[in-house]
Amino acid sequence: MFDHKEFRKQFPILNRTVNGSKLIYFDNAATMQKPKVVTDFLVDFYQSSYSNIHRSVHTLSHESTQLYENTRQKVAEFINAPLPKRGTPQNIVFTSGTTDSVNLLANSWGEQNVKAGDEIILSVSEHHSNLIPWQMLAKRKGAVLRFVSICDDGELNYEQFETLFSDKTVLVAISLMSNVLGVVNDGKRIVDFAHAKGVPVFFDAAQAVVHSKIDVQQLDCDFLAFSAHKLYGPTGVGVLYGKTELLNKMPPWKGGGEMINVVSLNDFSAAPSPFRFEAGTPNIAGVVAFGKTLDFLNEYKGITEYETELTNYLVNRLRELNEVEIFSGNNTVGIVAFSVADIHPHDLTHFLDQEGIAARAGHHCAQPLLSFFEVNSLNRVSVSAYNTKDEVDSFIEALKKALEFFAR
Amino acid sequence: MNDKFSQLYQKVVMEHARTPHNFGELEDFTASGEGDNPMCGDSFKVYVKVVDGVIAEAAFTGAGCAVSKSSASVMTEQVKGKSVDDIKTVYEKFQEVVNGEVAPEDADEKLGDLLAFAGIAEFPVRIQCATLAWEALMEALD
Ligand SMILES: Cc1ncc(COP(=O)(O)O)c(C=O)c1O
Repeated sequence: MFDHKEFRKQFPILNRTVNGSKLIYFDNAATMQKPKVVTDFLVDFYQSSYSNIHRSVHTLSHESTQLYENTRQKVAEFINAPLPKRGTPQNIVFTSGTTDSVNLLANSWGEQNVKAGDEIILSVSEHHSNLIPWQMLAKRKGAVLRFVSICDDGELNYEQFETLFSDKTVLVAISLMSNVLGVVNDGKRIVDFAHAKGVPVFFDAAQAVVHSKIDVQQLDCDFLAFSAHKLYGPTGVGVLYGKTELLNKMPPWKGGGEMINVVSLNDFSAAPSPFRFEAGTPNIAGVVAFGKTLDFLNEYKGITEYETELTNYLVNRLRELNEVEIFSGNNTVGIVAFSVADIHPHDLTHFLDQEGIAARAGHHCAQPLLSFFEVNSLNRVSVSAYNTKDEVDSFIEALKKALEFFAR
Repeated sequence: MNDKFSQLYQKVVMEHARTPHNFGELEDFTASGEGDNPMCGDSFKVYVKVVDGVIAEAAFTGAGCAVSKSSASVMTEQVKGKSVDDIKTVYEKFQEVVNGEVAPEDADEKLGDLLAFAGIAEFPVRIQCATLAWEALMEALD
């Protein structure tokens, strides 16, 4: 059983007040709060073991390097990536975030494998970070983007997806879970179909990694990305998982220290993955603290079940209000998008903030999706394992107050 | 609800938001401009009919929050009959008020209903809501 009270206690920020009320943090899809063990660890690391990595034989450098590489191992285990017999997992590349991971893929894999007329399949509900890098690549190469539509309940239109493939299709790049709707896509179905056509698949798992168990071997996806900060970890750390044989065929994207084998004045040879993609001094403390974050999460079982229950409770309570229209379907965890009759989202979230509730209004970096629904702006609340039903109740009360306030 | 928030969403603002004046495209406009707030997705288009350097008609279309919509509504009322130069001065004064540089009681009385937006100075993230339609107007007049 998941002990949510114990879990919540680990997050000191949840005790603060905002505008005179106790903070209710419902903007978890944007970023998550950090447990004390992780922030303590950051300080401790800088005070006791910090040094640059991979560069020197001295003890501090060795300690930092070990912690850094241990995190790579922990990340691999967390998403069940295949592990090597010994040495560093080559299939886990550290980046600065999901956005950076997608840019790496578009610039390295994309530069090498996409040519004029080739087609890349995305969905209409992508976050801008899994859209713009592909638009940039497509413009550079004269390639074409094709889009999977969604059904009324926010589910991907799998039938239409299958019709998008042609002999020009070179990649499927889709989010496993929409950051606006919270709908969980059927990754296995996507991969099975694409692979049958010989097309590799990239998953943006920035949200999915938070609310579901990711198993890259079971999914059999070729690439997958997520950000540490959305998973209780530090900012500035992201992951690109790729099948080792694919990563080792890809050219480096950024050049600099650490990514080379041999360098002469006019040439260099690239190190194998993951180092060829990690030029320069990385976010050492962030990565190492992310390792600590994963240790912390591994201590708790049943997080997804709790979040599912809490989301269902939230959806049901919202459904009690006639003025509320919910845009997320039934198959959603953590994230609920909705509109409220006669109150613009921007006005509503501002009202909620006065009550100490952090929610979000706007296009949520998914303008094409909002155009699809023919709206300019939506409210979004996103819950996580440290949130409670009491907070949901307070939120509903605040919503009722807002309805009264704006009906004056 | 606290006073500052209620002050911002005062009667004038709510009334203009609910029933905006001059909402819709002008048939015979001489210029138009657009204002977009990428943070929240608010987007307005402002139309003006300028005759001999004076704004004869002004109207707007688009969607946004109560503050941005009512600001567009009040603005289109206020600019009618004023010269383009006068309007630039009014905008400057309006900006001083919404940015909190000039207190509403010290501001030019001629700002009229525009002073209803003075309360936004308490909420810096929302100042652009009050100025969005003005940005569109300035684009039209440029
Ligand atoms: C589905 C999805 N993809 C990508 C991103 C981008 O993540 P980051 O800003 O950490 O690079 C986000 C963050 O909002 C997201 O929700």
